[in-house]
Amino acid sequence: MDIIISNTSSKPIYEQITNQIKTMVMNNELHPGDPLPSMRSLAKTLRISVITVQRAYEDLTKDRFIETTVGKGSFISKENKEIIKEEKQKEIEEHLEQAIDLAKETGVDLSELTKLLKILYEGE
Amino acid sequence: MKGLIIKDLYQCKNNIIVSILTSVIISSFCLLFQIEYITPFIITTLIGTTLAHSIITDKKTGWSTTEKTMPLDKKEIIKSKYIMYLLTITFSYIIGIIILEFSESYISEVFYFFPISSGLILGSILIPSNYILGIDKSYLGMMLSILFTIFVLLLFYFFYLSDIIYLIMFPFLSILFYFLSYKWLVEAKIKSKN
Amino acid sequence: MKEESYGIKIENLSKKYEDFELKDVSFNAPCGSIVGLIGENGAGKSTTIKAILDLTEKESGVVEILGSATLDKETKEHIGVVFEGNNFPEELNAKELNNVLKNIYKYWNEEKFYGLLYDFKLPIQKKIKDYSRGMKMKLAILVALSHGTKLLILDEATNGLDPIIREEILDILLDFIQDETHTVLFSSHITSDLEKIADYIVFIKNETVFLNASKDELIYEYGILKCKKEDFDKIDKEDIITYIKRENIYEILIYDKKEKKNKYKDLNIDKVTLDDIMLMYIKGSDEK
Repeated sequence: MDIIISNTSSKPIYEQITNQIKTMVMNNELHPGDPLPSMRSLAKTLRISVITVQRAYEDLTKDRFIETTVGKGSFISKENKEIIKEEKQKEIEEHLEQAIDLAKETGVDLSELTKLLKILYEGE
Repeated sequence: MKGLIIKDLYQCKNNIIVSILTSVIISSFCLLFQIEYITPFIITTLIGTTLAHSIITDKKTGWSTTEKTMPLDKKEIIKSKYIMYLLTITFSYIIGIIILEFSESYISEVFYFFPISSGLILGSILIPSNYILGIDKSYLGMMLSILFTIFVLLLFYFFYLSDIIYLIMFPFLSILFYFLSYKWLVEAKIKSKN
Repeated sequence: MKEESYGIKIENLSKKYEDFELKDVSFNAPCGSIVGLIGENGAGKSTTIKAILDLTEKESGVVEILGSATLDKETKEHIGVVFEGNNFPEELNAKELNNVLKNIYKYWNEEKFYGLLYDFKLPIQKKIKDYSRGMKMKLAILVALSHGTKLLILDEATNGLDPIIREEILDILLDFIQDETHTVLFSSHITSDLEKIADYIVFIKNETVFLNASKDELIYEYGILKCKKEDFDKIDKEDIITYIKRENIYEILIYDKKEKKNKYKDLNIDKVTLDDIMLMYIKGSDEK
């Protein structure tokens, strides 16, 4: 599993790890049931703190991308990734609806909102 | 403690060899001028002080700091120095005696115990002072110990009552002194935070 | 619930030395973690380590090293300490040092020692005094790793070493910590090294523990807000922890970066380094 960490990115390292693992699952580079390296060995490989990896794994577990069993380790969730994608999509819709409501309240029109969305999506 | 003695052997071996060579040279001069009876003293003092100096070297090389983190108690560390010193002066005394055998003049048996005894007296002052005085003041310890040893020797010379004094009392006293010095230093070190 | 075990557990330790004093120091180093100790020269880092290694029964507060309240011989068998500069008699070579140490440590592992010497390409017959600075440091560390060490303490051990050697040492530490029963306490000025591998950071200021948090929390929650006077005046005084004024620019230490970024959308908030945090707390003013 090749994860690349950027020290200069403003994204916290644990987020970079979770994003890359999620992307790998989405792209089929990682399959359900695939084992993840232990937190300690991943920390060693990436040369970062164990706590950072712990946070990343916790976040991934919360989002149900991985499952952790005591004594056995962490594995990519057997749940169908389509179901996960659908759930995430629902979340995105909810967030967007909130933004739209706010926009309507404050008089921001659709084209402005779209522009803002574009800037935020592409920018860092 | 065994490890500490091994360490001192390794550390001092160069210095001891130099001291032995120096001693041999000085002894040869002594033989020449027929004052060979001071040969064992010279050898014992030279080699003994070299060993006692290892205490200072330990401080300089950071070894004494490292020692404190090791599974050794202060008593062991000090004991190893006293034992090592004893071994060194015994060894140098034997060399001194061997050299004396080359001389033809008569040397009273009375002198036979002197070098070791004076070495013990020297050490009983030198070892604690090397521990307690700072690295810069080590020469003070050297001076103190040599002066004290000479003082004790003179005492015995002026209060000569019989050969028994030299043969038995002086060695006995020196051993006692040495042992007391060890006890005192261990107590002092355990009390102090260093 | 799994009970956490600690390499070092200190609560309210106060100790008085001849020319120094520690006041009410408390921090823990959980097993399996690397704890970085930072602070100015003279603030008390080395004294803290000295106090840890000097435990007697008459301590104030609760102190435990590897589960033991005093530093007895058995506990010391499992502690490896590396000091700055020289640690060993210089006249010896590695082989002689091995012979000395195997007669001092109960669990000395001769094979491991020679193996590590080989891995780190340290010459066995060369006298230690002829080693380079980096070689001496590597030797000290691998000695510390060769006697069943569970707690490794480094006291400014990497000062003056080049970046390449420091990286090698970081690798050694990460390797050491793979075993969850091992702990590392690493006192250092080279905060960039700690930023890479430390799990927790303990900041010693004025002879006591000033901050004690996970490194991630420090790096991600703190931030440096940079702005001009006009904007400085508009900032909520509660949000300013400390600040430094450089000519006309104000640099402000803030906490909860995410929230502040939202609150002060137009202002520039930079990622913080451990050096920044130290500097801000030591040199910054909190006059409002």
